[in-house]
Amino acid sequence: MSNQQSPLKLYLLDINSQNKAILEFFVAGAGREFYTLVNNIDHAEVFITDFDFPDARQNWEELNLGGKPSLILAMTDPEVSEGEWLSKPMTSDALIDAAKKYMPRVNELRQSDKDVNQSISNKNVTSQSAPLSHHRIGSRVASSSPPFGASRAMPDVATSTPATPATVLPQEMVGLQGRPLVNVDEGGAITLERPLEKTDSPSEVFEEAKETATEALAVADNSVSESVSLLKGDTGSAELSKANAFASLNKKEIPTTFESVEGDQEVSLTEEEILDEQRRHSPVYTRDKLSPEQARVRWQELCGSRASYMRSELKDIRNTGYNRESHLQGSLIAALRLSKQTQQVVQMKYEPYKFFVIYEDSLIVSPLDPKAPEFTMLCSNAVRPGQINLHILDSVQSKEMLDSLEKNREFAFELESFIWTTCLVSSQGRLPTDFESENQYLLKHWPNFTRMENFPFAMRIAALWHYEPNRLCDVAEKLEIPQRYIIAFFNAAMGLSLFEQDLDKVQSKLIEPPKKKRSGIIARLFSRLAGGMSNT
Amino acid sequence: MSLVNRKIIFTGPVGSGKTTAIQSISDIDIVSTNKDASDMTTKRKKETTVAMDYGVITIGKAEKVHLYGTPGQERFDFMWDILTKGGLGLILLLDNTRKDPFQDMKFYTNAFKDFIAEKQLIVGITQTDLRKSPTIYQYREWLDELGLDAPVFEVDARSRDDVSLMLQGLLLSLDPGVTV
Ligand SMILES: Nc1nc2c(ncn2[C@@H]2O[C@H](COP(=O)(O)OP(=O)(O)O)[C@@H](O)[C@H]2O)c(=O)[nH]1
Ligand SMILES: [Mg+2]
Repeated sequence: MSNQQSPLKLYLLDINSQNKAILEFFVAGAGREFYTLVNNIDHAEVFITDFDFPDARQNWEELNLGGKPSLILAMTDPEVSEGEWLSKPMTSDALIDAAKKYMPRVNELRQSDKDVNQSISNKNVTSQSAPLSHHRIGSRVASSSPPFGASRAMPDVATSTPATPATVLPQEMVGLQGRPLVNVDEGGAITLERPLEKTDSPSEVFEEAKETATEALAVADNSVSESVSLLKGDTGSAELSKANAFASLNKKEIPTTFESVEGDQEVSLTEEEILDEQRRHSPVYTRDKLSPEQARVRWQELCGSRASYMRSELKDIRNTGYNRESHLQGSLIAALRLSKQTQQVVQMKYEPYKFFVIYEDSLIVSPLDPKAPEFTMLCSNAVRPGQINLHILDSVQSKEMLDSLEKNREFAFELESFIWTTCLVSSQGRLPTDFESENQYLLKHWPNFTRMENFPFAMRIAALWHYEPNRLCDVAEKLEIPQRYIIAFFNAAMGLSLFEQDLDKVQSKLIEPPKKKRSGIIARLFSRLAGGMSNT
Repeated sequence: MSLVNRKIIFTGPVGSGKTTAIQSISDIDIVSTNKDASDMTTKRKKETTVAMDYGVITIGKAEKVHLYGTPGQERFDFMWDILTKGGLGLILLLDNTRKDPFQDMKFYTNAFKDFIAEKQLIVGITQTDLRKSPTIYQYREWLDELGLDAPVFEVDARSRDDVSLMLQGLLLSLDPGVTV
């Protein structure tokens, strides 16, 4: 067997850097018994080249490889008399087979080692020296860079993470409320705007709204709803494209001025360059950090504190459960459906508040923060019939709403995450009246956990329910966790329509044998990552 | 268990955040031979990683999980089995600001299809702070269309919490029974 012998010394000829990296990786791992990379061409026993690389074929033909085998990567058959063609896309097996094939020949050559070395080095010094240097080995191929395994020990020459912008922008460059002082036209050219005088600001109305929006529900005649209502005469607004308008919604104070722009001078940047600037300046996403005590209180708001239902109680939940439809939650989900169906902005009016659901962008405009106590109260109140009205905005109204939103991003929230929280604070660990205790539920899609409010065990519940259909009480028993967390997850995932609707699929999954195996390393890594995080 | 079984592979188009994600979660400074590091601030193209990114998560005193980022390869010169042999799972990062993220999803899930069928995939959508659409709804629909069953999370590759949650999602998909 080949692996009883020492690996073939492989030299990389013309190979692009990505392929080189892959080969280095292969040789350091799966191919380690068969190949070892050498940096000195004189020590090579096997060569590899990529004929799709510029000049590779010519370089290879000009080299005298002293009868040593060459592996030639190429899309199409290069039809060479010498050398082994490895067609692309190449597999690791092809490389291993080639090694096995050439092992005997290399062994012969190893026997007559001295002679061969002599002949190659003679040729290098004399007739072959020109092609070799022409070959630009040093600049293009393996040359001095160590094989992958060795490179681990190299000093870090990796990326600098541009999380901190290289240049701190002067405050004056940013408009009121972080509004960018740039206009981006359709063609991607940008022009600088003069900083607005405060009195010029059409966003003052929103300034006011910000103060009022967080006040208690009772302050109804402050007309908070107007704060998010349609702004008129909004002429000075930047003509950001819709996509840009929503960029960074939810993120406050994103400087979008560009260091390459000075004064009022006009510059043209490509769309890609603009994105790049934004990328560098946009703050890293952070989630709220709660103290253990804050977390305990919040989880109680989200999941309640109810003891687990008995199985017999589950059967009669109709009498004791909560009715989704008589809460804000029911209307919100109806608004989402409507926005999805019509692909329009849907207004949901619940005096004194107005919400706007924009399914297309997975956004909701809300005068209340979903984590605010006022919102929790609003959700838990029962709604009278006719108290909440849905209305599809026409195109003029939509445009006005979206325009005013550009400058008032703090009112925009991620739609799924908003609904998730809404369902949780509405139900507080209670089951809905239409719950069927004997139903086998299967989670079709995982929630977007990185952007959702967390509560204990949520990810584990998702994983189990995605893995196999289960009745709600089975999940609690299998995971050995309090039922209220499963009920909370159930309500929220229902609200997001994440459960499989197709009962045939649920059935077929019920009889499907489990595909994945358990492994100690998975558990240990999980524990290492999840220890200290609140959602697992 | 052999060493090769302890690796997690990050893949995705150039600029999707592979290097950054590995950097965010790795216990060591990431190793990658980036030829154009000095030019990086000027043009994004030049940030392209040319070698495999490599990072490590250490468990306890001695155990290690290796993290690899695939080099940006647009063409099929290699079958990706070279990279994935023995891997635990695959993290596909998709940059929401790219022209056609669905195309990217198709390309990479096809390139790794054997591995995905056998192991587990998780999709991380990056740069959603810069561009809101396509939305997560669309990514889920695309996965359905491709007949793939994988969690999708929005992630900021620069956030350790995001990358950690994504990894936890991957591990829980592999084994829903694991606990802290
Ligand atoms: N604004 C923003 N930038 C990101 C995000 N994820 C990654 N980046 C940045 O995108 C750039 C490209 O990431 P990089 O890790 O080099 O991508 P790679 O080519 O896949 O290795 C880096 O500047 C990252 O900091 C994100 O979610 N938001
Ligand atoms: Mg990279």
